[in-house]
Amino acid sequence: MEIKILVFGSLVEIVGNNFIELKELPSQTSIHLKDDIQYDTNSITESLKIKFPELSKMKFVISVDRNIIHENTIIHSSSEIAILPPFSGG
Amino acid sequence: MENDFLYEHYQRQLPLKNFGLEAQVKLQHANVLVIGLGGLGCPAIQYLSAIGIGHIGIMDGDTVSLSNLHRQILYTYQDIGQLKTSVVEKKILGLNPSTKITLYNDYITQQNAFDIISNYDIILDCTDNFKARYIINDVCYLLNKPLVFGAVFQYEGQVSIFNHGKDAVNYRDLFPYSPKENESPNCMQTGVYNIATGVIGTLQASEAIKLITGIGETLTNKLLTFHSLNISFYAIDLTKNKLSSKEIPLSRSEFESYHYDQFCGINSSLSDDISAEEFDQLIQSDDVQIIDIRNENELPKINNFQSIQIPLASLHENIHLLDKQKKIILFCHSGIRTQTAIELLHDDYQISNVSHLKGGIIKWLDFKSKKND
Repeated sequence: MEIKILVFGSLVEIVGNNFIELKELPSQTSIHLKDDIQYDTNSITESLKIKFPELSKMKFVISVDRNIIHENTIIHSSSEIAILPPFSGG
Repeated sequence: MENDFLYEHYQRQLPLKNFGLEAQVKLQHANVLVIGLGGLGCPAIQYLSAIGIGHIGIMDGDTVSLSNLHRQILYTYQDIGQLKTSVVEKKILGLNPSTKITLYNDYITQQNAFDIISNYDIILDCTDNFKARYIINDVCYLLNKPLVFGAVFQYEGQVSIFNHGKDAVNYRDLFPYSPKENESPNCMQTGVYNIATGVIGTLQASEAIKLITGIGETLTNKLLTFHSLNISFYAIDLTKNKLSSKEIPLSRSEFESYHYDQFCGINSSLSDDISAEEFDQLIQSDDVQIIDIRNENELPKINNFQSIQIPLASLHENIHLLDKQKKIILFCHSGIRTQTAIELLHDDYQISNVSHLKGGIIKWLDFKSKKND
């Protein structure tokens, strides 16, 4: 299974890139995923926070397929996920 | 007669599809409030006035400073020190003399928000801090006013329209929790790309214009993100969030007594100005970092307390020396340069936990000599 997570704002510096790839092969911004397990946004978020501990301090929202989500959501291999922090600058 | 003048002034937009006199008249009768006359407000208000919006309220308590000029392109070097509202009024009336402008020389607060916002049809949030944004959002929610939200971070921006239409979403549905003041881990030198504020402010004006005229599709219940460096736009659809209704004030009195400082993690115990007497007590504390922004050869030399010397001119390169975990206090000779320094730290680095010695070090020396008499 391969999922791309788009990263915005101050989260980019924490994660090291403006996207994270979750797939089978480990690399700097990727996390190992098993094919036979169904994933949801809670478990993905947990994995991200383990991989990037600074994320735990940050406030951000998650969108799946360009819809904001407010609760745990099942994701599929074709899901498009984004993590977005608030901006305040002007 | 009046129509002839209208035609001549707006002849380049009237022929636009779905525009015409009908849209022009709607714009003429609209009342739009622009809160914040900085990087977002400057482009926004120019387009709102130029297109022919009849009444624009402009709100900002700030004066123009040098570090504004890289992105607040309505101002000139000669305007430094002037109230932003006055400069904007002059420029806008030059651009479109038929714009009615109402000035508010103040920052948006719990005390003034309700009465001011209630006079307008559409509100533009062009501010630069979370507390103001939640205040504006909550009043717009209570008063049912569409809110055109815009915000930037480095090279990126966000735009949305809140509190409008069926199943209206507000800012708390998107971000129910405010980041606390010192939450960002690597934020010593954020900086902001002037193009980002230009694009986002202009998009905010466009969204307001579309709301007024009914033309096109708006960002109602959508969050649009923009990235200047790869020119990408990414929009997500927003929906109501149960958490938002738990926190949002439900009446004017609830709003006026709401704990915004606590909600936004602001330590409001230290205000910008510190008197010589307060300074005298604070220099003994372990929780403060004192910074001398005078030049290295300036007299008198101060040895009575610990401080680090960062001349104002080299503040940018030495931002990393600021200890954001402590209360930062700046001093200079007579308290004038520190005002510039505080503005710089606030505007360019979003560092707001910083105060300065009012009247400068000479005030404190004077206080000390009187104390010892």
